[in-house]
Amino acid sequence: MLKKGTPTEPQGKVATPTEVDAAVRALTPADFHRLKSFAYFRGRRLGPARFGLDPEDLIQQALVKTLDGRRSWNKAGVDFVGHLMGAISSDVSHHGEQVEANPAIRTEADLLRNTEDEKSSPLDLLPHQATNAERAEMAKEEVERIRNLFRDDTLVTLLIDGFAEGLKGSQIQEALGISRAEYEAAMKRLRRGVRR
Amino acid sequence: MTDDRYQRERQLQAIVDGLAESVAEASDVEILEEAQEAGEHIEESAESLRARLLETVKAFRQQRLQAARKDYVKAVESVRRTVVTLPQTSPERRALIDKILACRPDVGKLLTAQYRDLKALTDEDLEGCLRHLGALGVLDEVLGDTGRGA
Repeated sequence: MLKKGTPTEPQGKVATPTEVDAAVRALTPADFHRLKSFAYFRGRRLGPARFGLDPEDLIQQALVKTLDGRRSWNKAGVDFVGHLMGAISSDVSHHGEQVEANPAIRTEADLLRNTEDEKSSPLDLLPHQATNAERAEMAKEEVERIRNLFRDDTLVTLLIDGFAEGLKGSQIQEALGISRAEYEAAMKRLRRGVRR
Repeated sequence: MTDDRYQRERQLQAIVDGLAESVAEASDVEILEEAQEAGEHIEESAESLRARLLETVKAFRQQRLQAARKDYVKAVESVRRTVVTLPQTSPERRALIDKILACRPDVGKLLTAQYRDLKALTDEDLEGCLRHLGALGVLDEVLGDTGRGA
């Protein structure tokens, strides 16, 4: 089991580029695909504000922040995959808050110009192309699309309802009285369906 | 209406967060199977991402080296620009450095390997060494304004 990512705000010892290089070299194919899948789902949180950033961009951005110290990798507390997942989550959440607070429209040219600054993150500068109303409409359509995919799968539908209600996975499992294996099998179907 | 809009976005966020969370907990076998189903070439795409990340590390290192080089050039320029009055002749300069080392043995420990064998220093290196010490304020400290150039 992986040690899960924790918020990694700058603090403590910063991993050296040599340590980061070694950690990247040591990643297995499963690690890379886990990161890509994690970034894929986390990135969907941004909805239309993703502006072409794919999962690999999100992973690369997490790595850059690790190198320059904006995200500290606490090697004793979390493995490298867990650290990157934590960094991706923080970035995406941070940007989501920015979008909510300031849905101003920015241009692609702004984005490209600003990313030349070594300290800027494309995520921090994502254009907010859609208005609040458009984003809400897209979110509604996406939730409906996901629900439709599983309208014949009662258990997955219940999981979707549970998440939509704001429950965590373990809480849903407990509320439904299902085993861990049943929960994981249903989540697997949900992941596969959404990615299709 | 606004609450309703936020609620829809929050629902989607909660669902995809749950999915991301489940990815962190899935087994390696499941992860690889799902990647394959999504049309990924397992080894190929993993190695492609590894190469991209290693390239990022390399670029970061080069950027740091360039920054360090810039700092070094600035420091050298700063030493060059500092006005230091030195004795005119080589023997006087050698006598001056002997005096500094006698007064401040700790300075001798700080001198780089390049400067350690003082007797073997060329006049040019000796002048460079004294200018560095001047820029660092060691000359003023050891000799005072009146001692320099004596």
